[in-house]
Formats: sequence, structure tokens, C-alpha cells
Amino acid sequence: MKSISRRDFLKTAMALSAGSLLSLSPALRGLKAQSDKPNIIILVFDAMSARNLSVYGYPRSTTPGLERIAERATIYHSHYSAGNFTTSGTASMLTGLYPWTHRAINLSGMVRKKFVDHNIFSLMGDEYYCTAFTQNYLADVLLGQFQSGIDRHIVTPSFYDQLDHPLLGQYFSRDPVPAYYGLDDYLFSGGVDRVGSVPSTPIFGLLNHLAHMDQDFNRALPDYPYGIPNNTFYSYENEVVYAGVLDEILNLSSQQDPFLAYFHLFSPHEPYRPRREFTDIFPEMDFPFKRPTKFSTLDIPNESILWRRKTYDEFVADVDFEIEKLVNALEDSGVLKNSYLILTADHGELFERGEYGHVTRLLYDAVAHIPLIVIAPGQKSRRDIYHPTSNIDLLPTLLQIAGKKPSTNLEGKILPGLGGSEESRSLFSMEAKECSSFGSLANGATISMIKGEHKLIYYTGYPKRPDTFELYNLKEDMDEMKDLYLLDLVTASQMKKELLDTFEANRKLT
Amino acid sequence: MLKRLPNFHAVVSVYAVIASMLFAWSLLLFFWYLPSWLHFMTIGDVIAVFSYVMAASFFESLTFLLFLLLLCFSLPSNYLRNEFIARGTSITLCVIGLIMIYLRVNNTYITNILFSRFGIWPTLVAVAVSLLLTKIHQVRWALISLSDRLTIFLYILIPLSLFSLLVIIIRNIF
Repeated sequence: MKSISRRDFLKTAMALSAGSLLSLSPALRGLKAQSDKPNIIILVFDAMSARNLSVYGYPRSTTPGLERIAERATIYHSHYSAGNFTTSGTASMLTGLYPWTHRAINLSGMVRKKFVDHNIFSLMGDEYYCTAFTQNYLADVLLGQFQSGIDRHIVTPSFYDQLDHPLLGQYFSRDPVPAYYGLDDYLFSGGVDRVGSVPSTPIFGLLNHLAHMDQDFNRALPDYPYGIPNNTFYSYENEVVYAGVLDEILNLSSQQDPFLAYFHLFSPHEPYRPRREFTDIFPEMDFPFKRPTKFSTLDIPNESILWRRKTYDEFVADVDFEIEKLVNALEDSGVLKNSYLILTADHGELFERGEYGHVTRLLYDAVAHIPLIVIAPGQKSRRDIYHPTSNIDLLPTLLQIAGKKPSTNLEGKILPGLGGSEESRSLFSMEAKECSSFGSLANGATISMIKGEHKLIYYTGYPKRPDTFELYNLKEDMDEMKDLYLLDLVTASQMKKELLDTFEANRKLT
Repeated sequence: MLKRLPNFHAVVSVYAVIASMLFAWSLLLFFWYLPSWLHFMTIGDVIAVFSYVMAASFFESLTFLLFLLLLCFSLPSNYLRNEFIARGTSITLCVIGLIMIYLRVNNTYITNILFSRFGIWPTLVAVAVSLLLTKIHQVRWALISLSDRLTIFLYILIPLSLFSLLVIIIRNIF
């Protein structure tokens, strides 16, 4: 081996020292170009229902951390997702458009070609350095589609513990969408076990199925009595993921100004797998029993639903612990002095009417009502916003924060409390997984409309089911137990007309 | 060592059967998805997806061929090598056909039950029966004729696969 001369040694040592200083010294960090625009950090928690968070009044103390964070944040109490699962909910949040417009309505779906550049990353412009990461493959398809506006797209299998399925798309980072569809989703059915999925490579696809047939994902581990958290493709530990997210944000803040950081984290999405210290922390509780409706596709016994709800609540508590740790670390590092921190979800999770989860035709409050907590730079006191808002409002709000002129094509409004007003308007959510995304949404769709304190739900086009309306008063009947459709005829007819007119105007592709 | 392998003509004939089956399956599904993809992807992206599909099918077909050649190499000549076209075609039709049936049933749980309850035995029995059938002159003739006729597709499939590989390389470099 060639010996190192004293001169070489000194050169290497100096280079290493300089590198360390540049990355560590707060004083030198200040040498980067300064901008008067705030940074924006968005943390999305998959399938986190506002209805199960104690910060929103849930009887189980699932989110003591968020409750403490809320004391120095703006809390949106009536924030709704425009979709009831990852693809539609995330696409609406990132594009500021309703699902009937962007049409990412099916599992693994994408937004229409004409809206590919109509997203949070592209609209922020070159001024903002955009980083994006998601642990959810359905959301990563969207990030792949929006990649031209993203400066750093962190691959989904980052921070993983154990890979459970082959992920070939990650090796083609310059070609994310075709590689994902051509390889992971289409050839191997992505391991997502979608209904109707057939691997298009029969031999490789079958081998993939067989290789994972006997895997016991539910095996108990000392730290994880229900098994380790898993996103279908890989197992992960939230502690590791959140530490990785913190590192990414700290690196960003030391190198880029301003930046937009988007992190879409999989927990508390099913499977609900809290760490040991969060299991059995809640006593058994009774919740209002809600019978399956004619649009429920499952009929799970109530005991089973209650058990799943308990493990979900425990998982939420686990996630809450990590969120608080992350937010405190960001605060201590000084990143939040010039950053907006947005905590939200892509959709909720329901445990009622014979169903659990969010792959459902139902659009009751639990699956559409999501958290939104915003910490503005230097915010020290709590602010509560009760006015109904939608996740399509996030994009125009961020554009306003970034000093951009909101696009006229946006369907959302600037959030009250962040520059917007509490004007009266109707908010919509839509479920149409069973419909062709480029058709007229005729093969089974559910649309909900919230106006003031009322919510109208419309089921249409489901085979062997008549079109049906349900009306609830969310203020008096938060659990949506009493259908007022035939009781409050005036409200029902007014809302019905508006909903049908809006749906008719949007159901056909233009 | 090469003496333990079948001649080039026989290999090409059996490969034609493998490739025809696997590419046909992939293309069939590709065209099922195509209308949706056209709506959400640019033509360039759709061509790229097509390229990934073709390239994967190409490697899959080569993998299966390799499996047959390994069998040929390991077994006594009379078992497979000397009747490679008929028996190779028979094994191909049987194994890939059964896999397609399993997948066409299209229920992971059913596939799991079939495999976990009966293991690989249904496939092995089917392969054994099909090999026995090649003793019948008419069956052997039919298999050889089939593989011979399918060879024509290789003139399309192989250039298409190579073109697809080229597209993937270009898209991931530039």
C-alpha cells in the first residue's frame, strides 16, 4: 500500500475539518443566501382521523403531544379531505383541486396530464428548493408525476428496516413513473394485493407471491407485540423514520433558503402496530354503535371493530410521541423561527357501520375529517379556527405565504387565519374508486357536501342500490346517527340541488 | 459440456413457445391498462412503460429457457435433451399454462391455498402427464409443429425487446 506523506495527511485533515465546520457551525450556516421568504415544512400522517385525536376532543388521550404543540399553533377544527383514501386525498392537497377535476380517483391513480404542472412543488417556482418524501407508494406515484417541480425526491424505501417486496422502480430514479408502473405496480402487481390485480409477468409475479406467502408480518417482537409497522413493501420503525426526517430538515435548513419540505409518513395507517409502551394504555370504552348501511361492503362484528379502534388509538399515541419529539427538536434547532410547520393527514380512518379503515364507499366524518395544525414562524399562542376548511385550501394558502399570486385554476381558498376569510361556501369530498377515472363517474360514487353545520351525503350509481341521500347536522349530531333527509326538507332540498348541480357540472370530463 | 445441451434449432423452437406465451400475457394486460394510461401519461411515458414490460418479459422468457436448459444439463439425455422440442414445449405449455390459470383465478388466497395445501405436486403431476403424452406420435407431432410455427414471432419479439432495452437505457441516462 502506498504510504501517505505528511503533506497529504495535512491536506486531508484540513479538508475534513473544513467540511465538518461548514456542515456543523451555525455561524457559517449563516453564510448561505438569505431570503425573506419563510420555509415551509409539511408533515402528512397517513390515515390520521381528527375524530381519534384528543387534541380535537376525543375521549381517549391519544395525542398529549399534539395538545402541547397546539398551545402555540393554529388549530383547524373542521378540516376535511376531498378524498377518502391516499390517492384522491393527497392529489387534492397537492393540486388544490377536487377529485372530479384532477381525476386521481383510483388506487395507484394519477392526476390528469393537463394538471401535471399544477401542483404545490411546481407552483412554488424556482425560488423554493423542494424536497419530497413519502412512505406510501400510492402517494409516491403522484410525487413521481410531479417530479419536474421537485428538487430532491427522496425514494420511498428510505429509512426502512426490512424490505418485504422487490422494489425495482427505485433503481430507475430518472424515470420514476414508468418504472413504477412498468415494474413494481404492473409486472408484480406491486405487492399491493389490489383487488383484480394480476402480475403481468406470470413467472416473476407468481414467485413474488409465493416468496411472501409464508411471511409472518404479524409476528410479535419484544418491542412490537403486534408486529413491526409495515407499508406493504417494507417494515419500518417510526423512531428511525422520524430521526431521518429530522436530519433531512436540518440539512435543508443549513443549505437551502427558502425551502419546501414535504414528508408523507405512513403511520398510523393500517396495520396498526404500536410499540410495546403504547399497547394497552387505554381502557375499553363504548362508542355509539352504528349499524352497517346498505352501502357498507363489510359487516365486521362490533367487538372486532372496537378492538381495531383501540389498536389504532394506541398507534396514534405512538405517532404522537414521535411528532412531539420531532417538533421540539425543530424548535430547539431554530428551524421554526423562519418556517411554517404544517401537520395534517391525507384522509381519516373509520371504525363504524361494519367497516374499518378507509377503503370504503362511505364518507362519514371519521374518514374525511382530518387534522390541520399550523405553527407560524415565532407563533407563541393558540388560535382555534372552527370555520369548515378543505385540504384543497392548503395550496392557495402556501402560495400566499410564499408571496406568489394564487393560480386562478385553484378550487380551494386561502385558509382563514393565514390570510383568508371565513366566507360561507360548500365543501365537497368524493369517493369514486369503482369508477373509470376518465368516464362520467357513473359506476358508483359517493359525494359529500358540507355547508355550515349540515352535511349531505349522496350515493350514486352503485349496482343494485338506488341513489340515496343522507343529511346530518354535524353540530348537534357529530356521530351522524340521525338522518335528517326526510325530516329537514328545506335544508335537504337546498343542499340537494346545489350538490347535484355541482356534481353534474363536474362529473363529465372536459 | 455443450454436448449435454440440445442443438440451436431446438433451443430456438422451445424459446419461441416460451416467449409467445409470456409476451402474449404481458401484452394482453398492457392493452387492458392502455386506455387509462393514455389519459394520465404522455405518449413518451406510455412507450417507456411498454419498454419496461417488454424488457421484463424478455428476461422472464430467458430465465425460463435457462431453467429448461439446466434440466437438460442435469438429466440423462434420453429424458429431455433428445426430445427437447416436444418435451420442452410440453413442459413450457404445462408449467406456464398452470401458472396463468392460477393467476387468472386471480385470487391470492386461492393461489395460496392451492400451493400451501398441495405444494408443487399439482404442477409436477401435470408435467409428468404431459411428458408421457409426448410418447404419442400425434401429440409429439402437434407440439413440434406448434413450436415451429411460433418461431415466426421471434422475428418481432426479440427486436422489440432489444429496442425496449435501448429505450430504458436512454431514458435513464439522458
